[in-house]
Amino acid sequence: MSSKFEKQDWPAVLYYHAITSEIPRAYLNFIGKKLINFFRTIYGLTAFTLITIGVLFKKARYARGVILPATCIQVYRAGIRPLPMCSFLMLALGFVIVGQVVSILTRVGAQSMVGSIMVMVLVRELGPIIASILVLARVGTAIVIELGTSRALGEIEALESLGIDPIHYLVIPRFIGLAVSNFALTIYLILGTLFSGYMFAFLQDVPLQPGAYIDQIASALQLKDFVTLGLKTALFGAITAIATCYEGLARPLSLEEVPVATTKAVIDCVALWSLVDGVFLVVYLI
Amino acid sequence: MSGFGTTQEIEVDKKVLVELRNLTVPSLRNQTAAVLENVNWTIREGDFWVVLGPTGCGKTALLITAAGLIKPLAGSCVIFGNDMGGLYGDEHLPIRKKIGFVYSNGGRLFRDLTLLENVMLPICYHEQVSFDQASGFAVQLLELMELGKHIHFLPGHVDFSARLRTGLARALALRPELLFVDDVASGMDQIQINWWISTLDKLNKGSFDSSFGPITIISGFPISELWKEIGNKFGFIGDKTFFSFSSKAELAAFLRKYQIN
Repeated sequence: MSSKFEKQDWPAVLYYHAITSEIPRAYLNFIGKKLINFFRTIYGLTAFTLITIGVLFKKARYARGVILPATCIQVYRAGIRPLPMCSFLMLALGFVIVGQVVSILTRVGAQSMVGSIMVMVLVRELGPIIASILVLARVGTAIVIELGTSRALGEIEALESLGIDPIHYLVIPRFIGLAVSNFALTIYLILGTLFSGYMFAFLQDVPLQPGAYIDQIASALQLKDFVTLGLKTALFGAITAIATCYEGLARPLSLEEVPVATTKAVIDCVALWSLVDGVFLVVYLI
Repeated sequence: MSGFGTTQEIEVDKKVLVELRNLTVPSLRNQTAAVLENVNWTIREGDFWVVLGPTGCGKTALLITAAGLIKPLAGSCVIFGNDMGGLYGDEHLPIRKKIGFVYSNGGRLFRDLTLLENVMLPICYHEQVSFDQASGFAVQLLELMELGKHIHFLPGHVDFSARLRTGLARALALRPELLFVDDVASGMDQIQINWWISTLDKLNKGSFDSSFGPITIISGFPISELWKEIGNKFGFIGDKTFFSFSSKAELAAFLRKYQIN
């Protein structure tokens, strides 16, 4: 390095380079590749969803002896087996949200706001998201791995050689099972959180009568809360099923690509949930 | 190797089940690349084809294309009188039920179902019966495969030869008219190979069991001496071409001429 660098005005030099140099091609390629993959995934997921809904209606009466037990198994896996973990989450959420919100509101004397805050936070947003994350972590990742491994080992082609539609046999039970389970698990989580939250508030000697608590929550709930909760949770479950089945099944996979597909499915799910959540938020603002 | 081996059209009164004309067979790993070109093959009722070829020559790809499971890159594939290229979705189903396929490498069983459930699945799915009702025939099939004691095991807990036999039982579950058997001899000892030879022979002649009539069989094997013991029609894959022979003598002359075996 020559001595002239020591005498230069560095802020001016950096500013000069920042405004005159071009963005390296590698960065543009990276952004472009990400965008193209994003649109390709949206296209693939939409096509897969439409195919699944088509098969659901077209083959509703076919092979019931196989599909109904398979659906029941998926409901058991996604709705009943996570119950212990869900119960633990209920206690944790109850303490975090309800207990702390209630004690803070009591300090400022705004106990009457407890009900509406619970409805706004828990029933509309946090309850569905937490339950859906639980289902995704327990069942969604397992679905990608089992379907991806089946694809890699050629079992899907074996299903086709027997004349069995892989969408009908593999995706439809998971689609229905996860939608139903997600809905049920969310209701269980919300009710349990409201109850355990009150218990924590009670243990902190907050002057809130149980009757008053229930009245506040009941008056804060509107009919559209019930409808949107039902729709949103079922949709979140259906999205989890579609995204995980798509990543496992839709493209030719080899065994070493299964972990990549699993993480991709989790990202797809979270992105789609946020989109649906935004749509439902608009419903509340209208 | 070109210009040798033509199908002798002397049995024209037998029903044609599969007809491949000028077919280009795609590779299984890359479906835009061709592994065999200009394949002309006629499979008639009652045939027992033994297709030989070195490893990696495209036997599996040819059998899968002839079974209508994959679209060829060019040419026509007519199975049971239907051009497979013109059928979409569920139109394949009646043809699919008449064809059974036994995959190599363990038969591609469903790992999360027991051997019995693997065989029952196609029966329950297509014949709209529950698992309990379908189990009678499935148990009978597995007992014919000498697997009666293993029916409640998962495929991962039984050995390789048992998995292949379950693959055969599953392929026979819908009583197909046409059976494709892809390379069941690799890695097997002589006892297993003898079992497969006698079973396939009985299936072809219709003497396997009272529930089965004669089945047309197409089997693929790596180059070995097996062709001397089974089959009534022979095929050989070499130089990206498929040659067919209608007798053991023709195949023997071909192999002698090109010093194979």
